[in-house]
Formats: sequence, structure tokens, C-alpha cells
Amino acid sequence: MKTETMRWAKRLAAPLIPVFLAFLVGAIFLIFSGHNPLEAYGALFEGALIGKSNLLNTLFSATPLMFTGIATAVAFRANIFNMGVEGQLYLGAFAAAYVGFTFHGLPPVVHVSLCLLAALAAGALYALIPGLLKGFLNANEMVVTIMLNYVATLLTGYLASYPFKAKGVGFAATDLIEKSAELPRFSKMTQLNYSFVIALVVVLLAYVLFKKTKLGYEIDAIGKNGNFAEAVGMNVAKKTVLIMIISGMIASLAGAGEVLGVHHRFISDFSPGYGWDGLTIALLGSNHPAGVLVAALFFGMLKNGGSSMELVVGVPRSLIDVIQGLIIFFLAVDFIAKRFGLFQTILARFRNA
Amino acid sequence: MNIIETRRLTKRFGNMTANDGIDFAVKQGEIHAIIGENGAGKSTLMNMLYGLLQPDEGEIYIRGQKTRITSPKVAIQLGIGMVHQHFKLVPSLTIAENILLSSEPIKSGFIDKKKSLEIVERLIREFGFVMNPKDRIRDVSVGVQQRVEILKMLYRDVDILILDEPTAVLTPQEVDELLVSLRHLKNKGKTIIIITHKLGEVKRCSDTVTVIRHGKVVNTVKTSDVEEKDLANMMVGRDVLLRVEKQERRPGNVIYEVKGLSTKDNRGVKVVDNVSFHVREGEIVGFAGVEGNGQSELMKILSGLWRATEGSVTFMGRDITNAMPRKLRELGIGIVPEDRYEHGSCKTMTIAENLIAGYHYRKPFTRWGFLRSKEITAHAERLKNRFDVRAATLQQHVGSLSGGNAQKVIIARELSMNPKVLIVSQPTRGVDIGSIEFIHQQIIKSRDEGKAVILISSELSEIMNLSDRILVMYKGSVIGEFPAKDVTQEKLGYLMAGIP
Amino acid sequence: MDIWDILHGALRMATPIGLAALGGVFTHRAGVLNIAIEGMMLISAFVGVITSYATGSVTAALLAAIAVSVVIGLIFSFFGVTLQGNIIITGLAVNIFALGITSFILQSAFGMRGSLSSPKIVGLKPVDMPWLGGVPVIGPILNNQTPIVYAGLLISIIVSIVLYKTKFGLYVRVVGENEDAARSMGIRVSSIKYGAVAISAVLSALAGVNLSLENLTMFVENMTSGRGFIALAAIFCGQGTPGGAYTFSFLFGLADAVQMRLQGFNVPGAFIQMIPYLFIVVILGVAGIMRNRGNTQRGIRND
Repeated sequence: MKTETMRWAKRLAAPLIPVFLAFLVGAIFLIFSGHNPLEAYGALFEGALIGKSNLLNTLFSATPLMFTGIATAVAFRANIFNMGVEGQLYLGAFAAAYVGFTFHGLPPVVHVSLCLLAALAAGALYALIPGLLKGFLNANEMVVTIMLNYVATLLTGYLASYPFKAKGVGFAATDLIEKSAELPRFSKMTQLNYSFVIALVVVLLAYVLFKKTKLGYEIDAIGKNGNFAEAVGMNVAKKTVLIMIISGMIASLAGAGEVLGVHHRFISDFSPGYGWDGLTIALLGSNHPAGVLVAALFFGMLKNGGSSMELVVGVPRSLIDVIQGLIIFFLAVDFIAKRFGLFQTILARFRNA
Repeated sequence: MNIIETRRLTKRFGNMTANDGIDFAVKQGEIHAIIGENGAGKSTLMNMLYGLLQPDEGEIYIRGQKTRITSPKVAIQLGIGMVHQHFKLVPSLTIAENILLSSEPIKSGFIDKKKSLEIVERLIREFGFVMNPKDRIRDVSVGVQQRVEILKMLYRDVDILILDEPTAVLTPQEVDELLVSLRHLKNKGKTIIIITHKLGEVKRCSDTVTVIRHGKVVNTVKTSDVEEKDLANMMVGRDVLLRVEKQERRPGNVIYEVKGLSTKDNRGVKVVDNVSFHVREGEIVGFAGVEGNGQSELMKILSGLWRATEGSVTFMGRDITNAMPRKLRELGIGIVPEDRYEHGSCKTMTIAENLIAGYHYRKPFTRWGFLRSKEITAHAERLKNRFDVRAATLQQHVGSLSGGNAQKVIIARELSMNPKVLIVSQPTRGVDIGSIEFIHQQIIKSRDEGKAVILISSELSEIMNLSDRILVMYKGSVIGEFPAKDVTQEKLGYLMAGIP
Repeated sequence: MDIWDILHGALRMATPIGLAALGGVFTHRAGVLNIAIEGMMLISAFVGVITSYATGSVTAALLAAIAVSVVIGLIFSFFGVTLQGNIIITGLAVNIFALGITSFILQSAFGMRGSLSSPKIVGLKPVDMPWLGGVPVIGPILNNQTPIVYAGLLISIIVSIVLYKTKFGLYVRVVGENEDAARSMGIRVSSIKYGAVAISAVLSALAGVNLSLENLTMFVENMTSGRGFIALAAIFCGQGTPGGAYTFSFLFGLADAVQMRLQGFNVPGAFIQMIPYLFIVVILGVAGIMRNRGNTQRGIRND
């Protein structure tokens, strides 16, 4: 009984310690640059959580992160390092925008569905490349996906700057999508829109996938011991491709959500790094859908609060990136804590000193 | 004079006590054997003497002086050298470079290659070994590699040589040669400690034996005062059946046939060369041979993990050459792989999850793509009881089980699907004696039920005990085939060394 | 479109990648997957610029960049080696941290966003050596390059010598190939790994400074643009040898140079800019095919 609660306590504490330490170090940076950490963090949390519109905006900021976090988690669980969520997101976004502004006179449900399908197709196809390379040729998917990110941003940037550039607009972006393709907002006071609902559905589906399905079992096996999975008969090459495709599709939904629900057009370079955030979130959430959801909400809070913090106290928003990097550092330590028990580790160090 | 003595030596890993208050002594100039089951704590004790691990409690005395051995370098300075079971050699470097590792001669800032060769050539001559110091480790035989390991230590003037399972990779004749070398070294004044589980060898070469069980010393005796069965008893704590009961059976039809099977490794070297054999229903065909003669690779082909470049495999008249693992299982071929943690099981999955691996997509475990946990748990319960898997709960990770229990999980899984053919490789490597008995009984039972069994093992006694027919592998080919009752260990030993 | 011009440009663009790759060869051979090269380059580029801005001295800028890069390398080693954290994730942490901190300081201390450019920044100029320029074939390629480019060529030779002829280089190779063997002979594995990371940090610093003070004389956010990863690809393609790594770095530099030339021809820049990245994907694919030819084994091998 006691060990069971200890285990749960450890599981909850595990992501909290790195976050706490990261904020601590962040505070040091703040002090060095002449800011008051308490003031800054205060503004951050207030801007994120206090007041209905702030809270809704936090959910709004969290939405793309829920997608990218789950997309990354799906791949990571199978030990596939899909760093290409950013690129898949861009292609999904463009595909959704294209269907959004090309077709006219469709009923909204149909139009939105078509846009989403287009995005899914784009994400799936783009993830197919690294999937095949890793699954059948054992090429390093990390490097391949990172390279493809640059290709995707360049490609979509080009498309939005030349062939599909909106007339009369000063920056690189496509035409606005039809009203029938838009994902409506929840209320006038926030940008939170129905893509949030889709994100929640995706989180739920991910949970079902991991815990209850045969494919989830296979993802688990491949991630924990790929040689074993192969030896007992799972066709790891094919599953790798499948898992990458699923990951790419979820990533593409992130892009679609931004286009259909927020900008209503495709804007070149619109993503402030949602893909990389997805990585941090997947790690923080231990690749578990519930964990990813909580982590995504937390990061939504950081981003929303971050812009508040910049407006109110003048602390640059990039502090959030610094904290993000620190969180990942401290997460690495945490892997030890999980393995040997934090206390034992500290005691052992004292004894061997 | 006790050249090594430990008092109350204790080592813990987390909650597990690997060595518990060990009082142990080795006299100078003797050959001292340490025996015990896998996991008993022998390697831990030796690793502390070699400075790879630090004790939590207790003291070590070398030549009467209390000392702390904080690293292998310190151990070597004290005159203690260790030859590990898994050689710690660097394959792409030469013999000379390996022997001189960490003590390379330097000339004006760079490594003096000429001097290195001189030193090593002198060393090889002094101890009467035969090898070319310019050869790269990856190009020489296992026997030579072992001698390189020994030379590594002798170069550093060690008086005490610790050998960890030295004969695991040698043919019976090479074992003889090694034991002769050891006696030779003893005559030169060296003290030798051997960790082994081969009771026969203990009897042949050691002066004293220490038995370790569950981290504690059970007894230290003079070798001449005990018999093998006494030693086995001390290792386990009860009387142990060293031979399994096997009745004569008449095998049925040929259902599994291999013709001219060959394959290459990634360097293009032929590692399986024109292997042909057949297996009947109700028969156990055993493959003997020193490790590294193609058995692993043969196993990998038969389990669908490696492709054969030539030849065919036929099952019940059906060509299954290079079939994928899933296909093999679907056809009714059960596979217990050589490496139980790499291919056989997943350490971080639960026992229940492991028990359906490879069959998880079948009814009743899965329906419409969804797992059915009730069925999976019931299945696991049944198997746990039937195969005597010692575990607290089914939700435990397989990694927390002992080697023997993990192996039982794998065997349980494969047999639960009632295959027609069972292919098993190294089933009892590193397994406690109690589980060995059980596993051997399961293999015999399968054969009695009419299954065709292929057994691959480097433990000659296991092959001789269980097989109906024995094939010997040498350098990738089958060099001999006999009914088990028609062949002696001596004959098999010669074959294993390549002498027909 | 002079071919010498292109090759000259290729050498210039290859240098940061090449230096980073040479440092990465040590970590690669020591068995440390060093993703942090990108972050170390970026931070070095930044530190180089702000030090030059503050002191007007290029030497100070170089030293400061090296110092900071080594500190980052130590932190990376601490989390990745000593604490045995997941080395890939630790490396990514460095990169994300680098992006954030450079942006943060840029804004907090300099009040700028996006880039820092100022006449106060002193850079390194190309050196014209007429005697070198007169040498047939390679002369025009080698002449008129900035100092760090020459350093890069020299360093590629030094790295080869260190790796294959010295004790340290031997130990690095042994640690990477069989850590157990190294440890059992008393070689301090952690120290070797720290050393390899430190060397990689120094060379990444040179690469970063080359980007910010030689190619341009300014800092632009995220100016490394994935070059650290291209360096890693160069190491893989070159099989972990210094010569191979530098050669592939040159090839990538060539692709980059060609891309820049073609841009003058009214071809949309985007597709040409894609070339280096696609090139790497293709190379990894081809390497995969080559590796799998005559492969008899099924299953995952984690390279």
C-alpha cells in the first residue's frame, strides 16, 4: 500500500521538480538582467490564469501544443525520434488553407472536414518519407526530419510568396479562406476556437490507442525493445512507417487548426516553434496522453503569460525559451531520479565523495 | 599465507544485497575455484577485488595489508589481474595495442609503435604463446583472444590472476590446454582464482573450492575432499537431479527439413555453410558445438531474423525459407531465442504482456483491434501456474524476475500456442539449477507429446542428456551426426574442435 | 560564373560546418552523440559579436566565445555523461536554451530584436596573399579567405594527427568502440568524454565566430540555421573520420555556394536554398541503401 502511493507520488513529482528548478534558474537570469523575479513570475501567472479571458486565452495557446505534443509522443513511445513535427505542421496548414480558399459554396461542416482531410493527407505523405527511410533503410530519422523541417518551411514560404500569394497584402500569405471553412470561436473575448475541441478529441483517441489497442501494445513493444518486437513477429519496418504517418497526421492537424481557427489564411513562417515545444511537452508528459495534456496546458500558460509578462513588466518573452531549455536539462537529471531513487542517488554521492 | 582475505565484505545494489558479509581467503600459490549459481554473487565479489566495484562494508586484505582497491589500475598495482568472461578487447585494434592499452610507450608526444611491437613480441615468447602481435583482434580466434587477455595481465606483472568463466567459449581440448597453462603459471608462483559453474573442471584443476549461495559463503573445502554432487548440493541447498529422466520413444514422420542452408554476415564471411538436417515428430535433435561456430546464426535464420543466402527450409512439405517471424508462428513453429532479453522478452513489459507477445493479434486476446484484458490476464494466470513462474504479481516487469523465471515465461508463451515444432537455443544459460530441471522436463515433455524439437546449446551435458540425435557444428557446417546413445563426450569433443 | 569563384565560396561556406564537424568527430568517436553542436555554435556566434561590440577586439571576442562554449560543453557533459541523462534530449536542451538565451540577452541588454548590427562590431577580414593567389588551381580558391578558414584547413590535419597518433586520440577511439575494455584497463572513461566534448566546444566556437564575425559582421537570431546538424550529417557520411567529415562539409559548402549563385538568375531562392537539406536526406537514404546491400539481418540497428 505504502509503495503504491510512493510510486504515484514519484510519478507526479517527477515532472514538477525540473519545472521548479528551471524557474529557479530563470529567476537568477532575471535578477542579473535587472528584473524582479517575483514581479515577473507574478505577471506571468496572472496574465495566464486570472480572469475569464486570460484563462480562455491560455487554452487557446495550449491548443497547437496539445497536437504537437501528442504527435511527438506517439512517435517517441515507439522510440522513433520524429523531430519533423514542425515541418508536418506547415504542410498540413498549407493544405488546409488551400482547400479553404479554393472551394466555394460548400456547407461549413463539409468544407471544414475537407480541409482537415487535406491536412491529414499532407501530414501523412510528408511523414512517409522519414518513415520509409527509417523503417526500411534504418536512416537516422532525427537528422532526416530536422532537414525536412527546413524544406517544408522553405516550400510553404515560397508557395505563399509567389503562386498563392494574396493580392494586395504586404506580407507572404495566401488568400483568406472561405467563411465556410472557418472554425468558429467560442466567444468574442478570446481567440479560443473549435480546434481546441478537436485537440481534446485527439488526446482522448491517443489515450485509447496507447492503452487499449493492439497497435498501442505494438508501439509499446517497439519502443521498449525493438529487437524483441521484430523477433516475436511484429513487422517493425511497416509499423514504423505507420507510426510516423500517424504522428505526421496529428502534427498536420496542429497546422490546420491554426489556419482554420486563428489566422484564416496561411501565413509564411507562422509557427513560433510549436513543433519544438511539442518535443518538450512530450518529454515532460512522459509520452503519456494525460501527462502531455497537462504539460500542454502548462505551456499554454507560459506562452500566454509570457506575452503578458513582456507587456506589463518588460521581461523579454524569450525567457520562456530559456526556461524551456532548462526544463529539459533538469528532466534529464530526473531520469536518474526515476531509476535509482533521488535519495539514494544523493546519499550515494555523499558516501563516495 | 593468505594472499587475499576478505572480512565481512558486503555490497548492495539498491534493495538487493549481492554480497552479504563475505569472509573469504585465498592461499598464495593455489588454484582456488569459486562456484555458485547465476546471481549468487561470485562476479560481484571478484569485481570488488579488481576495483570495478567498491564495497559498502567490510575489509579487504592483500598479503596481510588492509587495502582499498579503488580502480582496476590500483588492483593491477597490487598485482591482481582479471580476465573477464566477456572479453574486454577492442576489435579494431591489434593484439599489441590491446595488450599495451593504457601503458603505451611514448616518443616525443606520440605513441611509439615500433617499441610497442618489440615489447609484446618479447612477452609472447616468454610465456610460450603463439600469435602475431600485428593481427587485429577481430581477425583472430576466440582461443587466441583469451590468451591475449591473459597476456594483458601478465604484462603488468600480476601475481594473482582472476578468471571469470574462462572455459565457456572453449572446446574440450582447448580447455585441457588452458588447464595446463594454469598449472604452468601456478608453478611459476602465481595464484589463480577461477569463477566457474562447471563442476567437472573444478574437480580437475583446483586445490580449494569456495561455494557461494545468495551472496553468502556456504563453505570452503579442499577439492580432493568432495565430489561433484556434493558441490551441486552446496550450491543449491538440496539434492539435485543432474540427469533428467528420459524414456525411449519412436519418432514419427519427418516434418521439418533443412537443405543446404548458408548465410553470410555483414562482412561477407560465410557463417553458416551448407547445413542440412531433418527433424521428426517426437524427436529432439541437438546441435552441439563451441559458441561461435555458426549456431547463433543458424538459430537466427530458423527464427526468421536472418536471411539465408542459399538453401531451403521446409515444414510439413511447405517451403518456409526466409519466412518472417510472424509467418513461422502462424504455421505452428515455437521459438525460444538465444538471447532471452534481447529477442525473447521485453524487460520493461509486464509478465502478462510478455506472455502474449507475438500472438497478441489473435483471438481471444484482440478483437476489432482492441485488447481484451480479461482474457489476457486469465491466460497469464493459467501459464504462471502451469509453468511455475515465481513472481509476486503478473504486473511485474519481466526484468525483475530471475533468469530462470524469465526463461520460463518465454517457454510458457511459445508452448501455450501448442506448436508442432519447438526451436530452442541456450535454454538454460545463466539459469538456476531448480529452473534448469524444470525447463529440461518441459523440453522432454514436448518431445513426448509428439513435437519436433531442435535444441541448440553450448552446454555439452545438456545436449547429451536431452537429445535423441546429436549434430556437431564446426565453423558453420555440420561436421558430424550421431544417435545420442552411440557417441561419447570424448568423440564429441574432438568434433567440436574440428577433428572428424 | 567563374568556377573558381564558386569553389572559393564553397570553401568559405564549408568552414563553419567543417570546424563543427571536426570537433564532432571526437565526440562521435568517443561514443557521445553531440547534438549540442548547433547550440554551442549559436552561443559562440553571439558571444563573439557582443564581445567585439564591447571591446573592439577580435582576439577578445574569440577567447570569450571559446570560453563560453566550453562552459556550455561542460554543462552538457555533466548532464549527459556524469548524470547519464538521455544524450539526445540533453543536446536538444542545449539548443533550445541557446536560442532562448541569445534572444533574451539581445533584448534585455541591447534592446534589439532579431539581430544585432553595429559599426562598433569588429570583424575579421579576408587576407590577400598575392603569392598564394599565384599558385595554379588551388591558389584562387585559397587566397582571400578569412583567418578562421585557414585555421580550419590546418585544424583538419591536426585533428587527424591527434586522433590517430596520440594517446588521447587512441583512448577516445577505444572508449567509443568498447567502453568496458577502456574501463577495465583503468582508462577514465568520463574524463575522455568530457575532453572530447571540450574539444568539440572549442571548434564549434571557432565555427560560430566564423559565422558572425567573418562571413557577416553581425548577429542574427538563429543564424546557425541547422548547420550544426549538417555537421553531424557530414560526420556520419564521412564514417567518423576527420578527412571524411571535412570532405563532406566541403560538399555541403559547395551546395550552399551553388545555391547562392543561382539566386542571381531569378530562380526562386527557396528551391535552391532547399538543396543542402535535400542533399543530406538523399545522402542518408543512399547510405542506408549501401549499408543494407547484402544485409542478411532483419530488425533495428541503432546507429
